[in-house]
Amino acid sequence: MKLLYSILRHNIQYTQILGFLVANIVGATIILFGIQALSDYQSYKKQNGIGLPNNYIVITKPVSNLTSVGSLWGAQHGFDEQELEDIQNIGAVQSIGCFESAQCNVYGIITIGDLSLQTDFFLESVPTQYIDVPLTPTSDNEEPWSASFEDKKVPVIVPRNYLNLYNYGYASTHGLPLLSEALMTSFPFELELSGKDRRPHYYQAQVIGFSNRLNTILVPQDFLQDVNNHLSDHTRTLPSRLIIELANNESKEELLTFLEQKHYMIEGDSTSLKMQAVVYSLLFVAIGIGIIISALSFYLLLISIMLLLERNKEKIKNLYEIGYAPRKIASPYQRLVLLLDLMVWGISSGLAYWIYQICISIVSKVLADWTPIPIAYLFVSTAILFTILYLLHRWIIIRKINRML
Amino acid sequence: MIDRIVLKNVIPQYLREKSLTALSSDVWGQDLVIERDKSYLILAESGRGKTSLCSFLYGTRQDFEGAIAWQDSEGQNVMATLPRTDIWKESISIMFQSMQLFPELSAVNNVLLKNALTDYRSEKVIRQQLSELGLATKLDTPVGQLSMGQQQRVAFVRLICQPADFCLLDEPISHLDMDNAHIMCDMLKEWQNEEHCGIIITSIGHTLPYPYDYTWNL
Repeated sequence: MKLLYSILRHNIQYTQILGFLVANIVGATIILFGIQALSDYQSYKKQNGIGLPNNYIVITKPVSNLTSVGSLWGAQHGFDEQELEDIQNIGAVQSIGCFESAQCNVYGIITIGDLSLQTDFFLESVPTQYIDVPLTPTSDNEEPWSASFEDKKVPVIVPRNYLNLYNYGYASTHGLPLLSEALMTSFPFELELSGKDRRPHYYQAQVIGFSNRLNTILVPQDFLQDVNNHLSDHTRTLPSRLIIELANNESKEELLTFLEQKHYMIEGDSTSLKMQAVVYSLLFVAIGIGIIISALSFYLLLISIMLLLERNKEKIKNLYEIGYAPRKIASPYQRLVLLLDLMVWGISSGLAYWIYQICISIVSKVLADWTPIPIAYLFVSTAILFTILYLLHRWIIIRKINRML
Repeated sequence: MIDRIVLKNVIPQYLREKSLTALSSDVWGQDLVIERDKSYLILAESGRGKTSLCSFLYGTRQDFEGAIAWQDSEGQNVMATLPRTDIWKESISIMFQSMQLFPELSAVNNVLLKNALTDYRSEKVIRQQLSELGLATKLDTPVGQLSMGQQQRVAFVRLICQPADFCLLDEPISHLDMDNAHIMCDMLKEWQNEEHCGIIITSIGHTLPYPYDYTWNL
């Protein structure tokens, strides 16, 4: 083998080899770091359901020009039974609640002394289990979140951000008094409902709590259904919004993909979804650049080896004719690429590990709940890529030698 | 193991234009059997296809008409069943007219390179054989720095450094004096006695003084 190597090592261009090494190390480091970061990001996403604001999400269908026109002709824009079933079948979905809205005219009336303010209003309801306001029974053991069409009192839950919007966005600039939550709950206001009987029905509405989760004015579901039965001309309408309770331990991947495919919109903060797209794009671009650099350097090495084989063509033919099998003739070249590939992937995995450790120390400060995936992934990726490329190099060398003979 | 080489109406493609009568050859266009333990001298002028015949018999060229079969004792064509390199290192040995040595390797290393395939001889014996042929002071000299005659002797020692059923020598002493030719003859005879191989030697007139069983004009 020593003699064989001493014959075949002639004509090796060390500068070309060095060029290959540097270029391939850069490319391989980027690829390995990219793969590790991508795996880590996906693992984090699965663990924490990135892209979903919390354990409950509210989704709607987007309103397009077509649905706008359709709604004028009475077409319903909501989730049908099949769509509800599809969503329910996703692993991460624990349960689904449908929003129902009042199908009649609603006015809110606030009377302060002799002054009476009246405004258009809307009411919605969701099943009680989705409400994030404590609904403790009153002292006389009365159900706090229940009412009927015949009752004259109805409990109401308003979004906390409505109150904040009034206090910080409106009242302060218009010289109006700020309202506390306690004040809001102690002053009832009046609701006027009218529908198919063309008679107004008045109710005393009492704010009993403020919701962070539900961005609408809520009344009890039994009350709303009763009102719709009495005052609405419409048959049952499709729910236009859904509240989804997420299962804790399930991957949110499938749900996110499903929502993306169906173009359903998640209400509230979608920054994390956008961030996700940005992170993916960056990682894929990085891996893409790494692949291009590696492919070019892989090609550079191949060209170098092919040139080397061409320059040694006569020697290779002589060796063959004295009894050296092509496999044996190829072995010094295969050892050379083995050495080079080992150097490339060894150094690259070390560099990628080092860069990754720096990134971990930075990211850990921002994401306290982040557990990096084991670094073993990096070395497994290295081993797989090294094996594939080395086998490819081996195969190309033996093929070239066979063609020369 | 190759028992015999059978030639049937073999003629190089570049000679097919000429009529067989015009060729008047004992080999081209004839049916022949070359046997083990026999020695054959192929005599010819330049251009009659000596090197082509050696290449055909060695199996490196196929540009001929007719058929050659390298048969084992059961009549199977070994060249069709075994890898060529296995046959070249175990069954057929050749001394090329162009020698095909490696100029950057020393005389000893050129032979050791071949010996590495079968471990046929010890380095000591190889050095001794080269020395007997007058290369004692050139053993570790790169072959590229040796004369043609010295290179022929290195090529000869490489030829006999393997097991063989047949061996081909293409003008082996074209650059050698008769003293060295006689030493070469003795060494070749000794090796043939060990291997019982068939020996085919080509010559343009300056012939290795070997006890030939057959002399054929090409």
